[in-house]
Amino acid sequence: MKHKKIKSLIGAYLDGELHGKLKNLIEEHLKTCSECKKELDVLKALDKKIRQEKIVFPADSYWDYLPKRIMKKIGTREVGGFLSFRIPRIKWELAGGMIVLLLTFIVFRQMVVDKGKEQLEHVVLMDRSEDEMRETITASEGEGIGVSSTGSISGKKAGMVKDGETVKTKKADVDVSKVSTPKEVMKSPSVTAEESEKRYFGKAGVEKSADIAGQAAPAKKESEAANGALSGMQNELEIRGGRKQIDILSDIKEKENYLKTSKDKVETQNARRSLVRLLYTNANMTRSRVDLERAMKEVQTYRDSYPSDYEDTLELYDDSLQLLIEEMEKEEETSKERK
Amino acid sequence: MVDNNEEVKIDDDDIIEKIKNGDSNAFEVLVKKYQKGIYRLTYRMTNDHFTADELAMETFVRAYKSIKRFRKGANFFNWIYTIAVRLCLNFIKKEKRRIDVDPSNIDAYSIKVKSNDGLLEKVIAKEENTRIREAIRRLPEKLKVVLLLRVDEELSYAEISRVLKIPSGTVMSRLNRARERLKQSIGDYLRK
Repeated sequence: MKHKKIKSLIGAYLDGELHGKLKNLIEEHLKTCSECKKELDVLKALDKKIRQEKIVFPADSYWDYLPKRIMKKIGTREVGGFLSFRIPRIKWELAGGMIVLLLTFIVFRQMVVDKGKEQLEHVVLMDRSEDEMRETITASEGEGIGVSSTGSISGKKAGMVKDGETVKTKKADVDVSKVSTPKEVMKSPSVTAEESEKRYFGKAGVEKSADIAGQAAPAKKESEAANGALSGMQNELEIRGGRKQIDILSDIKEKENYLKTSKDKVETQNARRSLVRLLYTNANMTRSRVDLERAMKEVQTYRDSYPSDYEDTLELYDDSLQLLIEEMEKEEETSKERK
Repeated sequence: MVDNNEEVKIDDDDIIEKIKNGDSNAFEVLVKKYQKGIYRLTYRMTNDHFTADELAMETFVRAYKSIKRFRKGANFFNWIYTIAVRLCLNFIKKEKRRIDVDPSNIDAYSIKVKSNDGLLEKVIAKEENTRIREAIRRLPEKLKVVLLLRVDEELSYAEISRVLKIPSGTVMSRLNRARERLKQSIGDYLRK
């Protein structure tokens, strides 16, 4: 086995994970390879340092009380605390409501789109039938044969006219020259949309058009409403982005209120510890001077109330908060100089 | 690692059976047995006693709530460690906005403050501990958790593999990478 491969197995050898021939092979190699021997010594020293790294455990009373706290928490079914992954029931309900709303919107939107398509096809067919009729009128003028093209063709009739079909009557009763094509109508700037519809479709056409518009209008309103709901949901989602801080602030308030009335020493200590943690987390999120100083003050209060309790964590909090304040002061100075 | 108290001798399966049969108070025995081990892990993963306390509590609460799904004969120790590890990893992942202070700054600040009190020697002695802790803290979570389960909790590769649901080969390669990184960051202390 190559030296490089053996070197990669030294960790596993140190951990007692190698057996039999492989273990013997490594041991033989270590007798002759100073580099691998040195690697083994370094890894041994490393593990020793990691194990020696002292964890200052909480006081004995903490271990006496932790099982009671857990059992109490289990008893009251209170899950969570300040932890960010807590999902309160209300959020599930909100999420459920939003999903129902979203599904309703999707289904409704699809219905509106389908209806719109259907009506558009209807209008296109009407358009096509008018063109066809006009062509027929033009073609039949010389023959004395006209088409009843008073513009009062109903939608249903228009819908029934198929490609290549012509509808013939005894005589043309319409001045064909007065019949405008849709393109002409559209080209005329002085013609309003309503007029253009009237001129092209005639009264019934307008009615039909209005009918379509009438059907489309509420659909549009509902679509807007659905869009509004979606927009509302988006807003809600945006709000949820900042929800964690809202949760933290509400938890802070809760702890502060609890501390005002609490008489149980251990519970008071737990609540004060949670308050420190919450204020520290909040200060890290907002990075505002007020929050940073408030957190530092609470760290100091905890330290004064419970000397030698969680010293290293309190020191870490203190140092971190102090550094943030210093950073903020530097930024303020820099921005002042720029001005 | 477990507490050295009399309850240790009681078989986990028996306790779990009692809990499943409605004796919720029996769970307290399991808490007492594993609380320090779980706490050590949550503390090592977060480097913060207050968070470690919350995570340790949450681990036990979740274990209790899922105890009915625990299969008789399975290793409770591995099972509850799996819960703790996942809670820690989730917590760390979601705490992205958490302050990430450069340890060299903290050390410098601590020394600056403490030296004014004439406690420089104590601080220097403490510095090594801080450096090692910070080096571990700065490891990527995947490497850190394998290292802590191996070195602190003395789990075998097979046990780590079961807790983290990764192959033993991956356990070995992650351990190698974790140790390599630590060698680079605290190598000077290893030569002392």
